[in-house]
Amino acid sequence: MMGRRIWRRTGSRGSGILLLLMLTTGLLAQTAEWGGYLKFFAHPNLNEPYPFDRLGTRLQLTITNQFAEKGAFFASVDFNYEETRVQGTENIRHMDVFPVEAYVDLFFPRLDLRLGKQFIFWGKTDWINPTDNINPWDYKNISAEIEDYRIPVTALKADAYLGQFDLEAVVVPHFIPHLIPMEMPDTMGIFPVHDLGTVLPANKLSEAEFGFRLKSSLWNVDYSLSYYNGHDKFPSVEVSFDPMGRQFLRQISYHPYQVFGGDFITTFNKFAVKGEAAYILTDDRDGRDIFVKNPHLQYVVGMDYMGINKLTLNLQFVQTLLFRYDEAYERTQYQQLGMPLEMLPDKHSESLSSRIQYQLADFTSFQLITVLNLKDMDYFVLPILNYAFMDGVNIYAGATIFQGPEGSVFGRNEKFSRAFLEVKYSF
Amino acid sequence: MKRFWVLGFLLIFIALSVRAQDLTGKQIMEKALNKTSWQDMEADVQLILTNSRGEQRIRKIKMYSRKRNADESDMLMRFIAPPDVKGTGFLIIEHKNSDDDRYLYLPALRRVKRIASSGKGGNFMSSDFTYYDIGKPKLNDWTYKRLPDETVDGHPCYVIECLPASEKVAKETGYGKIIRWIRQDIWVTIKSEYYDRGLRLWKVLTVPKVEKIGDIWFQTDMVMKDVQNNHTSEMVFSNIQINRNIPAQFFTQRYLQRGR
Repeated sequence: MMGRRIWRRTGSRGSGILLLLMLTTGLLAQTAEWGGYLKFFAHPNLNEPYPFDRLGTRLQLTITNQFAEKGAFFASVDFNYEETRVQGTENIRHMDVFPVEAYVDLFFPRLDLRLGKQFIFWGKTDWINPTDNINPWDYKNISAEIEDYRIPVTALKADAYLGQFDLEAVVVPHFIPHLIPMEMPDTMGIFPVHDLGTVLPANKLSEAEFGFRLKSSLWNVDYSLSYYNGHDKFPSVEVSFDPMGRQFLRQISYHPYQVFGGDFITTFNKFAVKGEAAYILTDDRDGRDIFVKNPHLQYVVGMDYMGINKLTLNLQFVQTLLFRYDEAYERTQYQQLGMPLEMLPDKHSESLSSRIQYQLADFTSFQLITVLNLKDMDYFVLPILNYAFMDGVNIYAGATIFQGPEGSVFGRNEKFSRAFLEVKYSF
Repeated sequence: MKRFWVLGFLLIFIALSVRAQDLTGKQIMEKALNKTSWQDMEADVQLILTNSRGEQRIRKIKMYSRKRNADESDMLMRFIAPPDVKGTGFLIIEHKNSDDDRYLYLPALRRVKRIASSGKGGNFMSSDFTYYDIGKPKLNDWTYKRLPDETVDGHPCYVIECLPASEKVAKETGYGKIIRWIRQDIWVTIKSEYYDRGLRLWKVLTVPKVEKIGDIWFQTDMVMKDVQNNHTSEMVFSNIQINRNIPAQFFTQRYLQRGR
């Protein structure tokens, strides 16, 4: 088995600067607080021959410095050592230094500013948030902790406090797509496929993503209205036939969209009722471009129940409705290009999601997240067991399981199902 | 003249004794609840959780509270330790006539979440204390019966049996009966027995330490033992500061999500 060592160049360059910043701040500021964690992780694949998708150790260092009530500085950087097996053929020993977050907070009487690399999450429902479009997902790496599967972005965030209303504004200058496990075929039918590469939105100010969110409360209901102007973080795989070269040409691109959203949550007794909806206006206004998503509406409505022993139940219904969708037209286009028909989108799709959290024993908790698509009955299951071994030491065991008929959304990802075991020491 | 003074003192003593003896359970409880109190306070809290196997977990919390009025208060708590929960914040906005607003800030999720109330009977920070236990009870939620006085740790105490005034109170708190030992000199509860709705002894509160800060007596060490599950939780308060005019805006989602 061949082994090789890879250094992520961008990661190490950015991290060097960040480390320098952290050390300088740490040395100069007497009030600076250091912290972090050391984590061992093993992620064996759940399909034969059960290789380790990931096996490694991470040291995260964090530094926090508060400038009285005027502001703060926060940075966290990961030092990863990881072994990955790709297609069972090769072991990649992977060392990198990854700046997770690094931002400065400035607090004014009615305004908070946060500048730098950060996480910004929108929405009030659980797990599925149609209005949450700022930080991309790492779908290859869903596990116990959100930091592992959400990708930070460099952004400017401003929160203005205007009496009954809070207004949040966000600008993200640089586009980062979702990381998705994808396997691209080398042939389509009898013809080879030639990759033209990936087209990302231009790295210029006019392409910067931005959004607003107005938050308030009325009669025990917290609600918000939001607008986001950016690019779909899911790739569009565009295929065309080149008759001269007798080959298919494939290009990956990310299309612009606007998201008009809203959410609410209210509680009564042991229940919380919540909902979130987003109308996504894509560039395919007339529904004639099969490679661009149609304008669509996605909404989530659900309920939480808080019981004894920290039992929390959440059940949600999710529906997506496509507009200007002509199935016959799309089907014809798919057939002409020889694209698999199971990839055809549905005019409407419905799902159920649930989350159960329970304190199994004094220091052991269990969480089970499931998403079930009602049409194909394909599902995603994420069980997580957390044992607080001692103060600051947690052991997580769980799995990300994709299951379903061939061609269904989760069925297509069955081969990416895996278990995980993580031991984390926080300091 | 001398005889007159002796007689006078004797009469006052008898009057006071009779008055104390004549107090009903409800009057004693009312006096205990209405003693001088703070307008706002902050403190460091150490919460020591011990399970049936003797394993311990220690949580350190910074706690801020202020009274909006006689019946409603706000409370903000922030975990200082252990490091895996450091930064977790919890905000409670109490309402007299409706459910409290409860917000949780989890640093890992980077957002404030409104959470359903687990009720007054819900466990406070996974401990054996409930939100009801650490809050100020409402006088009219209970009926009171005075039991014979007793001495606890050398302190003469009034002993009051409290029964829920309604099924709703019993359901909300989970208690079918509470017996309280209230120190006669400072009107502070130094022991309580909590019975479940089947009237089986459930938890015993002891207060090893009370301290006077300003004009106010605080229970600065409280031990709650769950005798049914053999758990113990101890809350130790230190660095208590009172009436420092903590601004109202401190008890908002804005401050909660600052996370530190």
